[in-house]
Amino acid sequence: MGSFEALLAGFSAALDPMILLYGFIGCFVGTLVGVLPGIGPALTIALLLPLTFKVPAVAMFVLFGGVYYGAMYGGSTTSILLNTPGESATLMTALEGNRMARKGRAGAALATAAIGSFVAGTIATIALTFFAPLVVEAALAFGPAEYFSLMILALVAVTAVLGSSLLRGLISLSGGLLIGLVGVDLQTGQPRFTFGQMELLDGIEVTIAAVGLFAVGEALFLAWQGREAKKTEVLEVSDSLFLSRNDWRRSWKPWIRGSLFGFPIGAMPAGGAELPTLLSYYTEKKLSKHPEEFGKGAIEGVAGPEAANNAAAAGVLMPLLTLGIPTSATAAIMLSAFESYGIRPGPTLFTEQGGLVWTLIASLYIGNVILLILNLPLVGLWVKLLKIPAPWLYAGIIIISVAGVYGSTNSAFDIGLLFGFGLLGYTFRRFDFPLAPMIIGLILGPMAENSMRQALVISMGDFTTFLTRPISGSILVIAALLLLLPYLRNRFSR
Amino acid sequence: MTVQRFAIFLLIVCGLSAWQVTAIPESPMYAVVGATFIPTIIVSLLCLCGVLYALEVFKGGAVDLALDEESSPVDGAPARAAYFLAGLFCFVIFIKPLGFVLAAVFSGVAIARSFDASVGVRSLLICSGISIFFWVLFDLLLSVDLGPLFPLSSK
Repeated sequence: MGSFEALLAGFSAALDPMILLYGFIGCFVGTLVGVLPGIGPALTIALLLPLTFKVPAVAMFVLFGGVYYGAMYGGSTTSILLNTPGESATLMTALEGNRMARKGRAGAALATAAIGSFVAGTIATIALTFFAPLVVEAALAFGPAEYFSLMILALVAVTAVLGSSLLRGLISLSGGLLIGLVGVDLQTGQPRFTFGQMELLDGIEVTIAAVGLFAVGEALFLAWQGREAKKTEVLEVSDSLFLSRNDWRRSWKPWIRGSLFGFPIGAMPAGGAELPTLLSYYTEKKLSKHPEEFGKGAIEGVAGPEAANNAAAAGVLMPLLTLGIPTSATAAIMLSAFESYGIRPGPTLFTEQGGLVWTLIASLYIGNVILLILNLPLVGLWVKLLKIPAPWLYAGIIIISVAGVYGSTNSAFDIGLLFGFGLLGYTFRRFDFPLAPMIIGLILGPMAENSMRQALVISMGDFTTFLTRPISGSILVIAALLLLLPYLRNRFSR
Repeated sequence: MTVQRFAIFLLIVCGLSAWQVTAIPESPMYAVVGATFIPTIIVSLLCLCGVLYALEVFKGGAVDLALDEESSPVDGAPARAAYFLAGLFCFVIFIKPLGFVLAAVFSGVAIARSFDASVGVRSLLICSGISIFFWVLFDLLLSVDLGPLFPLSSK
């Protein structure tokens, strides 16, 4: 069955009323968490992980897909109306979009962001549909050595390219790898890093670490900072949410260009969303007939970066689904959701779980339409959400975090562990340590160890197998070059 | 917590991790890669980076947002952080004896206080509403077991 036929079968499954309902709930919750500062898709998916025991895999991943895409849409509302970019990738949207809102053009900014997100999401999902099978075909030749090297590449890429310091990135990564090793070693049966605690023999749940680092850590940081209670004003949407003919004319090319920047860069192990949004912004500034408007509220400066951001988000799904390699914290948590269903993402996913993958991809198309419909007409609701006072918002975030963790184990020890991770998250935030390497290290560490062991069994203990196998060796060379990248970047920037 | 104290804490973690590697028991089973191989590499990397970070800190090159003009905390940071931590502590201490909802109410009031909400009936009512809402959502609607609504009551 070709990609197109498989996609059609995916659509027929995704249009099942129950699956559609999960998709809708995912989009709604995703937009909600994207709008609310302090909660992101990684945290939300982590909180939903306990439900994997109760909900069928297809429905759950459609829900996760909706949350993931929805959060990207919702983030732009906060950036434009509150001037609070949730992450560096929405910095440009905040810069130009908030200026537009201050000039009374909030409606146009929200509309170009939403329609741009729809266009980019759709283009990127089309690219995912047709390129993923090609990557799968190539990846079928991969053995454990290649997988080990790929995981090393993903770990190095996230550490070296994201964040402002390689040293702090490496500390975060090695901390995550270490936490991933806590518990009984499945091959030898020996306990590792348990400090004699029975509760640690099963290892540390990803949910606890992710929720602690992202939710509790962020909330504690904001409480310590004390600036949230004196939040800046939420701008009103006073103009029309329909784009004028001139706005359409100025927006459509940036949407397309942004998508073309976003997807390929997002699909790379070190890509992320920051680089394509910056590239898109500066390209639009260069190509615009109104460069003087940039920095003062240029619509192209919202349309392009917002499209690039969404296309990059879809791009992240490519290495996750085809290779089983997460390149962002959200993708890492989705990988752990796959694991809790006993499903191993990677090239065999398309043959062994074809129905699941193609339903998920089809639901991404449908989700984009739902999000477009959901975002603009409900903008009044999203604005109200932004006005929730900080004390109740963060009390609620902590309560829901504990509910998500306590619900899966009913253990007070796990709550203590959650808050321990919260303290770590706070110190990381305060001393500028990136969190993504820790989460990705925690999830990929045990998998990398397993692949390494398999590769060494095949090579009869010969460690050079990782370098002598052409694909594995090439990937390790790329990883080594990436590790040097921050030094080269510093050298050239001087 | 200052960046110097954090660096010392990191070095202590490095030391504890190194000790835990030596505490991994020898496996009677043969394995190409034993239980200590990867932990040794990771702990070595952590120790190396920890020492380099400590050097950076004591040379004055590390980042601390407390000293950054745009991100530094407004007055009263220790008190706010203390309220927040007290809220977390309430959850750990009370969740077993008092159940999820009451522990969440106490915790919520303290956390709201850390965001400058006053402690009073209003805070108590709002936190009760939030706690009961999430208990109903998780326990009743999503079948995630959070225990009974109140202590000693059955479901």
